Amino acid sequence: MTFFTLLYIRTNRFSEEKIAVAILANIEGIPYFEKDESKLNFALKNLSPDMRKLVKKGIRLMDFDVNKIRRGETSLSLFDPPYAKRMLKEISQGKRGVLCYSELYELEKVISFDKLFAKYIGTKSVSPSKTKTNTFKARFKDYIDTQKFAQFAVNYKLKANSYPFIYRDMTIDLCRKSNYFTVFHTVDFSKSIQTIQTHISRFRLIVQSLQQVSQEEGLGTGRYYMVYESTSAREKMELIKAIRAEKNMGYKIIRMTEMKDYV
Amino acid sequence: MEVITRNSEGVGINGSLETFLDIKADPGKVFFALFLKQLHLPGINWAYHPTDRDMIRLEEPEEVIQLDEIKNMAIEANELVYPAQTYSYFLLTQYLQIEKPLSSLFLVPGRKSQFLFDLIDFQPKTEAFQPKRNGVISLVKGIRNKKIIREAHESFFVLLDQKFGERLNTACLAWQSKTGQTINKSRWLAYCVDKDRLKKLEKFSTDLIQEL
Repeated sequence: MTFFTLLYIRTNRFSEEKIAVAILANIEGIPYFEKDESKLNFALKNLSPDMRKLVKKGIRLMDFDVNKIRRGETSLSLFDPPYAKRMLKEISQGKRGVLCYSELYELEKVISFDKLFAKYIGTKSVSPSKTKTNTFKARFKDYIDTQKFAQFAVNYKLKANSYPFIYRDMTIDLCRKSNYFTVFHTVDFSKSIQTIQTHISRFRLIVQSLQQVSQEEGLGTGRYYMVYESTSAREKMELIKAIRAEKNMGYKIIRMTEMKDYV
Repeated sequence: MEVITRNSEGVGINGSLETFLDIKADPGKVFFALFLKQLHLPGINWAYHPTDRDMIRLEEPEEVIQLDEIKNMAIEANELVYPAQTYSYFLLTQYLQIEKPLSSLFLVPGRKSQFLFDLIDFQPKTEAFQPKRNGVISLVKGIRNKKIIREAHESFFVLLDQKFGERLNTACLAWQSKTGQTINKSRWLAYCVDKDRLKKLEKFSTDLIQEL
């Protein structure tokens, strides 16, 4: 299921001149927001300086907000309010301001966001800074940089000689040892299926190894969390669902934003 | 008045290049405008239509942003000239049991922005009054100086007094003579100045302010 709305800047309300500058879409539960910088800048030139500032900020925040959801940095479920279909339908009725939405378009088919963007808005203008993508590991590092995770060891080393089942040194993203182990370990689902599979296998080994150590040392079984963030690829979403459905694995798969609930 | 053009939404431009929008006359809108005036909230200017008794004429703002649940997030209370108006508006929409108040908020840009309040068509409701938080509260949360929230709270309950009831009464008479439509005056007056609802809202607001 796909639904989307176009975002316009109305440069003149009376001549009804408006420029489509961005698109806000839901493709299979994944939110997308993309703007065309050149069209946006052109449209902004037609507004007063104060309005320009306000509109620019609104669009920047919307971009940040939607992509924050995609990056898994907020616990807001995808297309919960404020991006719910019902709400998008409602806002499309408000047409009295400079910034307005089109009606809500719905499609039964799943389509590529890039194609949708090209069809309605234009070619993506990629700014040089945009090509530098922030990795999941980096975002994870930012996320755990709070007091909440202060008692955890970052990049906790498991030496092959000291831990059972592992034959080369391994690193856990976040680990705390108290009466039991609490482990958070990322698996980047934007990688290839093969790489993801390797990382899942490694994580399973880590869990087994720490469970064994816990038993030997008289500790509790421990809490082990595989941490992921949203992905737009359907087969990877299926994989996440499959992992979630597995029973008695000894670990849970959680979104990065859910981590704070498990500390 | 000479109308030069009218766009697809009905917004017109007259011979003096002033912009206006003709909308259906509803007593709710007219009384809402009165509430805004009473609470010193800047509302869209309006007047009874010069020729059509079923319509009222709004003076359309030129360059504004119409807020909604999404664009609302782009606004912070400290960027507003009068952040306290946010709380007065919140109380008003609670009092009149208005479900979706954000789309009736226009933002007028400036070094610090200002609100312009649209006219909302409310109806007297019979269901039990249950104040609750709505989208406006996210704007209120950003107000750092809690004193201004308390002041907005106090003035709200002072301003909606008996004298306001008298103004509403006059507005009812004007409505009937200008539009030729009769309304259930006692029902409207009882709903607009309802001491029980005001009391409940005051309690709700007092508790809310403690949490903010």
